[in-house]
Amino acid sequence: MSAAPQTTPRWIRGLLRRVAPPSRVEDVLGDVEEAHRARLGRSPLVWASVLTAFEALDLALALLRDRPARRASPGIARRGPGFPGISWIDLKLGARMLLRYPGLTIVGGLSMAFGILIGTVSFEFASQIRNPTLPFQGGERVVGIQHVRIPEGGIVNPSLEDFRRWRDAIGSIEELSAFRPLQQNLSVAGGAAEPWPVAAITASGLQLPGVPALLGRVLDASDERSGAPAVVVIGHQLWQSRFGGDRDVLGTDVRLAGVPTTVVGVMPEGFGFPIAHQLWVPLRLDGLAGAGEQGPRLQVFGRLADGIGMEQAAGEVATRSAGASRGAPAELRPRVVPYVDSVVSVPRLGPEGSWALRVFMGMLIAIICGNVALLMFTRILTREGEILVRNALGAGRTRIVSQLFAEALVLSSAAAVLGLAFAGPSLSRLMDTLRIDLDLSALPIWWSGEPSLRTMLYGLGFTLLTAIVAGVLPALRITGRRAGGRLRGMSAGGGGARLGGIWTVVMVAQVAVTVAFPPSAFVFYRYVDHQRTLDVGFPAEEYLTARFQMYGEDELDDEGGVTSDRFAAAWRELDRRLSTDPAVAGVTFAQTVPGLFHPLRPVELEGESGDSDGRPPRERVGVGRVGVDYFETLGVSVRSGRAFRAEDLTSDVPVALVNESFVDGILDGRSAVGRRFRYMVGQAEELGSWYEIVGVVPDLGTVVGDLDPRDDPGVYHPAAAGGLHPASILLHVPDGTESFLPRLRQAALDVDPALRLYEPATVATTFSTSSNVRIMEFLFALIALGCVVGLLLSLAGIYSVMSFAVSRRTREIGIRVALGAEPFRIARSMFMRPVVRVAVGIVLGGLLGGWLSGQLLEGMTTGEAGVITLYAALMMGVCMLACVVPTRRALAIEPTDALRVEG
Amino acid sequence: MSSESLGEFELLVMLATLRLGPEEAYTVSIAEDIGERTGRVVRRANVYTALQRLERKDLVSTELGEPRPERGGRPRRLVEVTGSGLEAIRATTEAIRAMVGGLDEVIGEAG
Repeated sequence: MSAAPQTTPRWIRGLLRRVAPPSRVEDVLGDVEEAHRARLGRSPLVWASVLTAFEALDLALALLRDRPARRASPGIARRGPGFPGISWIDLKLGARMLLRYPGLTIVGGLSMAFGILIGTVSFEFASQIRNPTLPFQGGERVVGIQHVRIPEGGIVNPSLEDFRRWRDAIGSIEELSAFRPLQQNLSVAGGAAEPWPVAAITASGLQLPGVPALLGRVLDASDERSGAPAVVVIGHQLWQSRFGGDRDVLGTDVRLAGVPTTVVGVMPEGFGFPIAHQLWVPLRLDGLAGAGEQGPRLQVFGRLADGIGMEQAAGEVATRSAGASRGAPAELRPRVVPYVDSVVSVPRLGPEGSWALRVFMGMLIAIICGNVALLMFTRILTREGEILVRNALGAGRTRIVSQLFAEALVLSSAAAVLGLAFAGPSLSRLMDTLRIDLDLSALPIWWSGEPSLRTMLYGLGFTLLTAIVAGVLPALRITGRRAGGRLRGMSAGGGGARLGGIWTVVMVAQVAVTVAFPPSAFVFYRYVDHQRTLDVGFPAEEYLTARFQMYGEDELDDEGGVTSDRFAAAWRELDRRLSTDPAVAGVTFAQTVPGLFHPLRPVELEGESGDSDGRPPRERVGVGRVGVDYFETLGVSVRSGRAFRAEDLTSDVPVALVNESFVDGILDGRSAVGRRFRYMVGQAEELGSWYEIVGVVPDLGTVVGDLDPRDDPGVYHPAAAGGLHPASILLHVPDGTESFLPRLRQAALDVDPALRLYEPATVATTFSTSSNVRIMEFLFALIALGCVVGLLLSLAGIYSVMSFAVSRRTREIGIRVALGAEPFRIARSMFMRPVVRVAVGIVLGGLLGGWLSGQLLEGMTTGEAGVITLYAALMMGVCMLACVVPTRRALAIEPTDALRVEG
Repeated sequence: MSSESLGEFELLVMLATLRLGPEEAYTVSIAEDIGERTGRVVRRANVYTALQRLERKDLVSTELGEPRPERGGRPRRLVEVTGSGLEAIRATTEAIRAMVGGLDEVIGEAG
């Protein structure tokens, strides 16, 4: 049987495999697949997925009912899916009762569906981001080796010499391998060339996952020899799209980067190691240019030996690297990290951002749970009379509770199907947004746009819990000790159970949480707003910036390494040309542009009193390396001490400048000039050399990733022109930065064709559109959507419950009208209790929101307070409406008709 | 002659199976055939359950067909009415005819 592509969602296939008899698995899955494909041809993806999910669950229940054990005892009445006391009749009756109260059913069901959707997607997303696992056996033990640049903490990939040295000497990491990510033009059968990501990888690297080729072979060691024939292994997706899945593809010649190359293997579907690749060529180390620290940088990885942990491996790597090649710069220290972290760097939220996100999720879940619980209790109250009569006629409490649980289960199951059907497309969209923000051409193999079966089961577990909370608890309340008394009261024309006690608390709490919701969104909005309007201390729109890197010919390659002589010469020539351009008022450079995220490093201050263990306090600062004339070019004056001088580059005493946030936040305003500090380096508690602070400069946007925009302590170190690679150039062009761009590109091209320019823009544009800002904007949009949905659900829930509570008093209204009471007084008494509940909730919500603002934002702005006020006004408005409509209706009917209404 | 008597839905499933023939009768096509002819919404789960019951009573037999690309490379489980099944269909339809006889004026003509 051919492994044709599947369209049915993965979790459905997993579920049916578990419940279908082994002899029936294939045709059952085939039926579902056929039906799903037919739907995809007629309906949008989401709707087709919803219908397929319903059908799959229906089929799964039928398969469970039909298990052999049940057939052995035909005399027993047919029961539901294994729950005690629940029959199919209960489930059918439950479905009918839900249809009888469509408003409550729809609102409650949508609330549950939304809660399940949010819970499922966020659970899966967090699992994938926090614990990415390579999708092959032993993937969790694959690690990468990188260098950390001292002192600023930037990451640098190892060199060719590093790899050769480690491969021969290190025992704690086995199958040590390397790859270079390339971008090369592929041409098949003389067709048009198109760029594809290519992994130039050692044979051991491609063999590490232990996945054999579908056709032909993987790379082997003989392919790595200089002079060996040019070969390539292709991926399944590429095989299907460019070769039509031709099984005779082996031996076919293609052109890769203009070189005739033979296809020797096809990898199976889903294989994309090392990242998301479809083309693998041998990494020929002998052919790579340079020795020592020259030549391209490599991604180095391997598998931890049995019984070896990462720290042990890091220790051995550091030992093998210490005192190694003469060309190695002292400021690079090796570290061992999980493989995924060495290849893709996902921006992490700072502590405030993480807390804001947790607060948001917690409050959203609280709103949804409160909404659902209130609605379900209200629904059960409408049937109180029937329930009490059944109880009086002999139906046990267990029986009644089981039936009501069955109703809640039907609703929560339908909500689960809806929520889970949207979970796949939502997660896929979320992962794709992350991929775009990280500038990846395809989703890495350790991430998936589909929820796992484990996550779906988590969603179904939540569904069951919801059914218990929404069905069992209200049912126990109704059939409690006072049931007999309430039945007598109803017979005499009195009212039944009320929304009092705990349900009042639930309603008040729901209002309070809804009103307090927005501060968690304000946190992200403020970050985005701050980044867009960041004051970096100089006119950022007059400064043009671009990132420069040096590339080899015919390939695009991320070097990320130490400067080469060629780059240094090119840089100095570029600097000279630009400096003499009449439109340019100044030229300088930096490792990181002001306003962008600066690497965060822990520092220790000399002379500071320590903690109880005698260790001095450690602070974290943003670190930047800049040209000697950096501050002068930006027109920024030193606040105290002095700026950098050319002699600082060769001085025996390493120097640094700090910003005002460093002085205020870390030194508490004390003088900084003359103080010394040092960095914690590597993964051990190792401390580097002392640096002397020679001056203090204003804050220029050494953003360190926290959401508090005022907490950006920064440190600067001098660098020689051409001494940073890659580096960002900053040009002061007072008139017309846009018009200067073409001249900047031309100047770079004239100096050296291999000098590549990236993302040219003004400094203001660069920091207001950085990937950090894009991700925060995305999170803000999600949270704002959550706020709106949470508000709508709360409003719908409050309206339903309030209008029900008032309509329950129709009989009372009739009696009072018959006795001559004024309509105004009646209306006032109807409004009093609900309005008081909502008002108390609003006040509590305002206090809670104020407290949250204090914790997350240190106070609210006028605009933010206005949003909270609007929330509160909406709540009260909806409450009034919910009271007005049934009260007017009750006042309008004849008292004798009102008396006939059941209380 | 003693034959199995069929429930209403079982009869519909058997009749659809006969009409489609052993090369084309499987869960999906049977459900579609019943839906098109009767105008009902037919759940495939019900068809599946009915076929299971009928197979246990030896009124139908099933076997796996060839893999099909539109089913993700999976086979269909083709259904065929057995001799006993045909007897059961005859017995049930004769019983219905016997009960309906003489009630034309009350029931009216079938549409």
